[in-house]
Amino acid sequence: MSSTSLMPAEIVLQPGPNAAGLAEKRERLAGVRAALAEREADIAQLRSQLKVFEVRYLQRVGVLYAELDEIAARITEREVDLYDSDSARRRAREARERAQETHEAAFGAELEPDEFDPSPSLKSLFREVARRIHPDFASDEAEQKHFTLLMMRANQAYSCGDAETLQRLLDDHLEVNAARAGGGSDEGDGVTLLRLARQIQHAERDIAGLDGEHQTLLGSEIGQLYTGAEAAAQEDRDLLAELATGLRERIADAQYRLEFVERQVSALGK
Amino acid sequence: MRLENKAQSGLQHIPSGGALALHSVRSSIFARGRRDAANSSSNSDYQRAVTAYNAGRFPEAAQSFSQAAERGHAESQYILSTMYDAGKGVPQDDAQAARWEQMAADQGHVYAQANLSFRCHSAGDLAGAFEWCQRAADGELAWAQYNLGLMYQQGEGVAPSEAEAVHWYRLAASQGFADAQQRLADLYYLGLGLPRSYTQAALWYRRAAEQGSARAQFQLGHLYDVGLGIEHDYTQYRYWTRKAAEQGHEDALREVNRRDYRDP
Repeated sequence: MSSTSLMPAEIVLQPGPNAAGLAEKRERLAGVRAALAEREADIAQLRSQLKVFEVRYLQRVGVLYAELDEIAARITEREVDLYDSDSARRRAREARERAQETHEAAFGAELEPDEFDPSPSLKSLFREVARRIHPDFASDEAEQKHFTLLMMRANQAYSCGDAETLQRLLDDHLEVNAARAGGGSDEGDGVTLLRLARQIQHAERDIAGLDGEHQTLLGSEIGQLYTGAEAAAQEDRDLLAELATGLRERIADAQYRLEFVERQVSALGK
Repeated sequence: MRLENKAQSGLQHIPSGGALALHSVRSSIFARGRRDAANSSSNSDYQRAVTAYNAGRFPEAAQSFSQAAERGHAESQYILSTMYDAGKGVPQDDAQAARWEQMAADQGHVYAQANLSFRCHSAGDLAGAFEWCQRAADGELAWAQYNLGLMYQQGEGVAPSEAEAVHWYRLAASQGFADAQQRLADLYYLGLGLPRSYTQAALWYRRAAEQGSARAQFQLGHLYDVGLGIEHDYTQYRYWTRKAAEQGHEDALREVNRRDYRDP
């Protein structure tokens, strides 16, 4: 009974809520996409700040760890020369391994990006994505703006061989357009609503993903160091300089110990 | 430790840009820097704590140390553990002492590792005592190197090995640790774990004797007396034996009494 009495009201309201609903959904989509674009920009900035900081850290501090570990390794090796034992050998081996690791980390070739050589499957996946989200194919200005952002993301994913992200971009696109497929270019209001809902959902999911990445970046060792260095800078302190000073003192100590052991070795005529 | 886990549990499906070396060989060189930075003496809570401690305001010091300790400052964790041990500024609490000591030790604080080794030893956990002692010894702590030598010599927490004992005694002895110098000299004297050498024995006994080790003084006197590894020298023999006797070394006392009777 009650449903029939409600029917007229629903029918009367139908055109209204649909149009209003569409407008509201479009507005919401524009809002979340703007938020998403902002997050993308933020995280791109953070990534590049961390990258710069990483290089600076390796140049100012990392190389000193490498120097310290090298001297420590030499000390333990001279100790084996001095008096051999299993412990002495174990220490020397471990110290040498550590020195090598540190050297690679501080001077390693990782600073230069790997040569870009995408697999054929990655290439074709990228093409699939690109031909669907290319900004030139956007139907209106808002979509063009969004496609530009997606294209940037696709380019980045492609350049670091991230097939997973490319696949997700493709899946998203297919999902959004699945409803459209049968209805030609004029989609009905219901279809549009569904499409908008999916697009909003994708954007919200991506925002959550970026927030997670943001936290991961800041929670990483380099992120924590960066945060610490920023906090120190607020107090007019240079954290990397402080670390370097501490390390230089430790290097001087280690150098002294190395010379001491070498004197012992030569005193024993070894 | 918590921080590292956080980085690892990061959302894996999120592209990390590929360029940042979050999980690479690099992460350990970053971790070291972060740890060293976190443990920097410029930590403000730590500085406040040290000032309070030096002024004898122990409860205040304990509070500041514990603030720094909570944030992972290893030196503060270590000092806090000793304060809980001694009931200084805080009520005496073994569990708290052990907890902070463990945290500092896990971060590579050698004094905390040495204390933890001692704590394990007192509790009869010889394997634990050995392991922590070894870590502190690898960290160049002479006390730990000496004790590791003892553990090798006595087979505590590890298969006995005179050769290993020699290795660790030598490292501690080279740092000027008198007990280790005397032990190393003993092994040279007896030819245990290395070829016997009275010359080396005399050399290490002398270093320990000069630092006041009674046993080394007595032994050095003995080597002068019999002219082993060192030229016979009656004056030196009397000098070192008397020094040992002054410290109550029993054999030295007997020797001095016998000599005074025979040779007043």
